[in-house]
Amino acid sequence: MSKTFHAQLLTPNGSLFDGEIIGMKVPGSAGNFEMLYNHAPIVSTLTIGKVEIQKADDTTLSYAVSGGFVEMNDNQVTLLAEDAVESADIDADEVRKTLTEARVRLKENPKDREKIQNEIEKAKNLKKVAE
Amino acid sequence: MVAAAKLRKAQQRMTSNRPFAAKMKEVVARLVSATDGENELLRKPESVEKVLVIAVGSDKGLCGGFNNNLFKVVESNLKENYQSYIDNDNLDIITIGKKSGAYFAKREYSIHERHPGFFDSLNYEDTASIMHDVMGAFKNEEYDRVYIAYNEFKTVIAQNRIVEQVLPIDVDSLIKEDENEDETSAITDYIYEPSTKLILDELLPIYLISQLWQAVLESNASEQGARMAAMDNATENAKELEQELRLKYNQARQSAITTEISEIVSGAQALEEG
Repeated sequence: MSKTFHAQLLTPNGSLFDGEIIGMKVPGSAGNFEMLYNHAPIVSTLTIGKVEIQKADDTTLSYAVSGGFVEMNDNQVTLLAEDAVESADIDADEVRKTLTEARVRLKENPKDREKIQNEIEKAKNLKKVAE
Repeated sequence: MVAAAKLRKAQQRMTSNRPFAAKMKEVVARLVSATDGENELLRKPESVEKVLVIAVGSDKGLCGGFNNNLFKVVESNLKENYQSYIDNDNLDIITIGKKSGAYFAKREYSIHERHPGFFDSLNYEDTASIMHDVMGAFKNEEYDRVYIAYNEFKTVIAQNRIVEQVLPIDVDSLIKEDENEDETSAITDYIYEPSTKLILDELLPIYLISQLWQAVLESNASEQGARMAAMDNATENAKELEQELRLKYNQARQSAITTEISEIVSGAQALEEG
């Protein structure tokens, strides 16, 4: 039995997860990494990607995040994301709709390219995590 | 009853952001002290040329002195410290909520942006986009100082009126507060990935947004509380008024009946005598 530690996933709209875990995989800005029991103290920013939490009962939860950061210290990990959705809560149809809509907008407004591209990346990530 | 339900919801939203905001503050404080404040958003202007105030009010009325009390505090504060800025058109206001816009427009302040109907669909994204614009303006040196004015939720019936400086970030008090709260974190040697500077670039905007977000959530909860108190007072007053009026009505009714009876009696008497 692996040792567990405490994890929290916070967003401006409330806490999404709070409990004991075995490990957490995060999309770090400098590459994906996983934190296990007794990981060294770390602060890392995140990119758009998938966060995987392996709970104490060995089940896995996945979340789609778009940025934020994670802090681990003294077997206490806190992930702060401006926007995070649990895989089970992702509405696949909705995401597909946003994606097609954004692609159309990209052609129409080349000026907002960067912003729309970002939206597309987020939607793609949601789609990937949902699968 | 409706206000009570809304209040509960607003309070819940407010409390659910607190852990996020607190953690954000803690990490930002640690990073700032680790990087010696190397960031555009930590720029310390030598002189203050232009000032911006973000005034958070409500969209709807009927909430007692909720809006006016706050705006009066803001106004007297501005007149005391920034009168010359107002005169020279160097003080802009961003108003959040319809009432805030109406108040400052009527008094002919220079309004930079208005956000009426903000609380109809209160969400993080809109808050973030307001703050992004403000940060951009601060970086371009369009503004040298930014304040947020809002009602802080104290209890259901009481608010604290807050005028708070958000930019430039008060680095010293931020670090000090962090040291007081948590002594162990200062000693811990963290790995920073990719680097303290890059993390700070990413976190400072989120930190500032979360400050404004907390302010609008506090204001939103306070508004519901203030409305509940105001409506409660109104009900009380109406009841009192009703009692008073009922008494008057009964008196009038009684005297009308008395007159009528005495008329009939005297009429009957006249007939008998005749």
